Amino acid sequence: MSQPAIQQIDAEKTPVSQDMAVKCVGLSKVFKDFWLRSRVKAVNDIDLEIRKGEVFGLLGPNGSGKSTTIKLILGLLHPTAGRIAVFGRHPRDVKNKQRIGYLPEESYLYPFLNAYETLEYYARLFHQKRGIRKGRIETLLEMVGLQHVARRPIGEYSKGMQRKIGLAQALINDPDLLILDEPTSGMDPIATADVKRVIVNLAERGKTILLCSHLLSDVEDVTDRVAIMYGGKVRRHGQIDDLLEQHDRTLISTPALDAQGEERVIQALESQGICDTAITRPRQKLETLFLNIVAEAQAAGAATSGAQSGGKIADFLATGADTGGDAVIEQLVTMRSKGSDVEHPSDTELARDESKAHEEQVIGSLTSGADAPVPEASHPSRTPPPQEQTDTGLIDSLIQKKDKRDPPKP
Amino acid sequence: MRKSWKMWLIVLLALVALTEGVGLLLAAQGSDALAQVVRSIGRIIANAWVIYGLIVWREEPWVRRFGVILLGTAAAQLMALIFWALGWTDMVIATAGAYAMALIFYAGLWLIRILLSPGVAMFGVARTLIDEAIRMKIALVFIVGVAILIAVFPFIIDQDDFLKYRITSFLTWSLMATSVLLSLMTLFLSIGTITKEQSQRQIFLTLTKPVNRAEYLVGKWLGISLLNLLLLSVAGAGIYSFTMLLEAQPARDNADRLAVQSQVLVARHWVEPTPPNPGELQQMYDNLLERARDEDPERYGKPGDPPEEVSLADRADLQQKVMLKWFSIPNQSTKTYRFSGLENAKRFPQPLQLRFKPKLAGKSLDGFVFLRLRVNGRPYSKPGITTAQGLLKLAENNFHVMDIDPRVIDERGGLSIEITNPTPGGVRQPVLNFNPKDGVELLYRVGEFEDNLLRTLCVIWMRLIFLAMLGLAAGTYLSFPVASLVCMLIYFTAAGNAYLAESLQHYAAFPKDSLPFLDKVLWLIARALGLFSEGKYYDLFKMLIKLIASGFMLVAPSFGDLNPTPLVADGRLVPMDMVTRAVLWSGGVWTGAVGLVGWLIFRGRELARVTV
Repeated sequence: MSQPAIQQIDAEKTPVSQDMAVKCVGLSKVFKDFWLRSRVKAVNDIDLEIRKGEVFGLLGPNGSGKSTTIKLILGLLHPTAGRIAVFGRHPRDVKNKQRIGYLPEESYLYPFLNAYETLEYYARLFHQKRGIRKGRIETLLEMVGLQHVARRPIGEYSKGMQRKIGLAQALINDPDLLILDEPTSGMDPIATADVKRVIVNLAERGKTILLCSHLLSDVEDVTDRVAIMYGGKVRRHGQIDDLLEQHDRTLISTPALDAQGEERVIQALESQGICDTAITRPRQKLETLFLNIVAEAQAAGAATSGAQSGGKIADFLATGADTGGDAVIEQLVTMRSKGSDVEHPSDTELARDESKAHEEQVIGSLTSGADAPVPEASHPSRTPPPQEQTDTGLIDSLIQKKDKRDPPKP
Repeated sequence: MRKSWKMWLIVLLALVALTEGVGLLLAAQGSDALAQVVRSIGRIIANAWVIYGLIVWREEPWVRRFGVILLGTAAAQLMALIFWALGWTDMVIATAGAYAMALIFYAGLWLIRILLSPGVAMFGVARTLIDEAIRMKIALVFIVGVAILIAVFPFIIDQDDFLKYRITSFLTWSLMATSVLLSLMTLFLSIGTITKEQSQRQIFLTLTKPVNRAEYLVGKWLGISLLNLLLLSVAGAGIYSFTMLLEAQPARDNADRLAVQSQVLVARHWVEPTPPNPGELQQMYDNLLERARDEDPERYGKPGDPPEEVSLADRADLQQKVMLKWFSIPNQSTKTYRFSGLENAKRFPQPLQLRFKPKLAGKSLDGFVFLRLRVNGRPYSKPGITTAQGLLKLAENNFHVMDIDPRVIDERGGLSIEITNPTPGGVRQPVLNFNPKDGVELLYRVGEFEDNLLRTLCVIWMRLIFLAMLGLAAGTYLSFPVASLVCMLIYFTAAGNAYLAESLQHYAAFPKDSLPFLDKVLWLIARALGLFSEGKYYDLFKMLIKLIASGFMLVAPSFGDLNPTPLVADGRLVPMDMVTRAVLWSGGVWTGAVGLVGWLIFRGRELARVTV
């Protein structure tokens, strides 16, 4: 099914650089009726570039053309106009599909197969040998927290559980490009957090992810760049931080202050000529509260017949060569000995503790006028969403301004 | 979990080995009673251990399979015991047959799963299709239907009839039911699987994996074909078991028993007669055509015109009349029928069977026909039916089989049968007729019933293979109801091709076969315009119907020539030629052509629909 002729045309007319996973140029899709009259212009002359290793969000309200764009990229639809290159090849090139994982907007799974058989079926489509297949299936089932219901028919699963199996099948081939269409649709907050954690982890392992959703908070938590579609057109696109940053406001975050402390901060700011200030008690996100309650219930050993929280990300989903069946099994054994939920909290908690201590010092220096230690520049990295976030950047800038005004005495 | 069930299995094996070992030791020392006690206790513990394992490790696939087989066996034994206690011996046998079929099905399914287990995309598609067929209820209805029909047929056939006819009826009906039900299942399954995957969009996930569309279609086809092979094996086992059950039933008399052995549960080659003079039939045809041309030159052409000028339908009519005449023997006349190519028959020790069905053109004497028979010039007689005058007295309009010693076949492998229409007791007998198709035949045994049944199932399987691809190809483009209608139309056309062709011949006027294609088209246009201008709209409509039907029949395959059921039911050899043609045409050419069309449609098809 390789189509070199089309690739050549693409290569000539649409240069695709080596670090580009998907490139669409002038892409349009018009659906026609029986009499070949244009019925719906689903995608209207869009240009799209998704770089290798990035998490790209495709946003838009229902009917904006997101899913159609994805189906064009997957070769399930043919473009009416324009060109698409996926890893520099035609989207219908069968060899290319070895590198793609796809989770559709709904669970198009066979209801008569159970979870294990479902993953086995898709693994066979990737020509995986028995040993590798078996290891990956068990790892993925554990990863999505469905190993205990693996022999139940998919038809008996809740929508969220079906989505989880959908995600597992999308990962069965350790894809280089993962296309997720509404991945958290129908999932509870725990499962949603799990999916986002998986996305973050995969991105850290160098996978390219195209995330399509209208749940903006989900996209905001995990994506590097986004394109916002409406009426079949891309209205805006760019780095998520660039798009979201409010350049005319600054937010200072500190540990809880008493009334006296608040007054002193306001005075300090006013002394710098900043009068339009407001101090409020920050609220934690509802998602965080919910996850904490569930975590407490799980710690207390409360039983559930539904899906469990997912385990560690499967190690075979790595950059580069396949680790093989033995390695996966070895990894599983290691994983079991460590427990299922051990990956991120320790690092983040450490970071949070350090950050908290540092913040106390900063506030102390701010109110007393003493020097504050300058924190090390933090590496830009995606943080799993459930963790409480503390922005020290603005405090740092405030300190720097203060330092400029009051140079340290010799 | 895996370690635990292994431990359970090891303990079980150890328990069995220990029990048997101790039992053997005790028996060797002469303590038979103690050995028996040890064995009994050991078996009780082992059984309890097995039940414990089946409950605890039921999630393990192989344990589940083993448990199902065990439960099925126990249920069948229980049913058989109940029937036995009630004195319903037939039901005991039927239960055993049904159990055997179920066991073969289960084991076969397991075997197919193993065959399709390698990591090949096509195998994955095939295996999932089999799961779909088994776990969704439509296929199951057909499977159970076949099993029930086969198990029930032997008991609904008239028990007072000749055993020979009961077995023939059973074979005919069971094979026909198997063929029709599996054909329908194949069509519904193949159309259903591909249309449903498109409408429910499972195909999105499959075809975004490294599977090209040809592999997908072939995978589906492979799955249905293997499932059909399995179901045919089950049905074949059932048919064979119940045939043997019928054979064991009491026959009406010795002749009936002998007929079962020599005429039904065998594979016989058959030879049709030819005239001693090869030109005789042609001469008869020419004479008949000449007379027809004198009477109706517009239809048959002028005297002296080439014979090809006569239409195919009229030619067939004339040939039929010639054959009828040749198989008619007026009173006081004798006809010689020559059978050749019997060299092989000489090698077999079994007698040749002359099979014929005499019929009188007028009233018979008390339902009997008298005739004189000579084999290679020697008079033939058979105790019980030969009169004092050396005539054979036979029931009219019934098939009769006369055994002939194969040693009378001449060196050239030929045998001549002379039949005379006599005047028994001075009463003129009306014209004696034989059916031109199977009125006079010579048969001889060349094989066994089992081989014949196997060939029959092979031919049916080839038909199912074609239907599977037909359904898939139709489903690539059409919706389920439309594809089902189209496939049913093709199936019934293929099954009744010969009858339809005969009906169409006389339905409406059509150009002569000898005309070139362009002339035929011009003839049709001129005829249509003529009928229209004359206001004969109904004739015009009929002509159009015939045109459409003829075109459809030209592309639709014909199963008529590949129908082995009447042969196997009649104890005739299903020729290897038929099996080869079935493999070549049904399994090869037709399947390939339909598959190619399906693939050409499917490969460029957009699978997603508008979703904005």
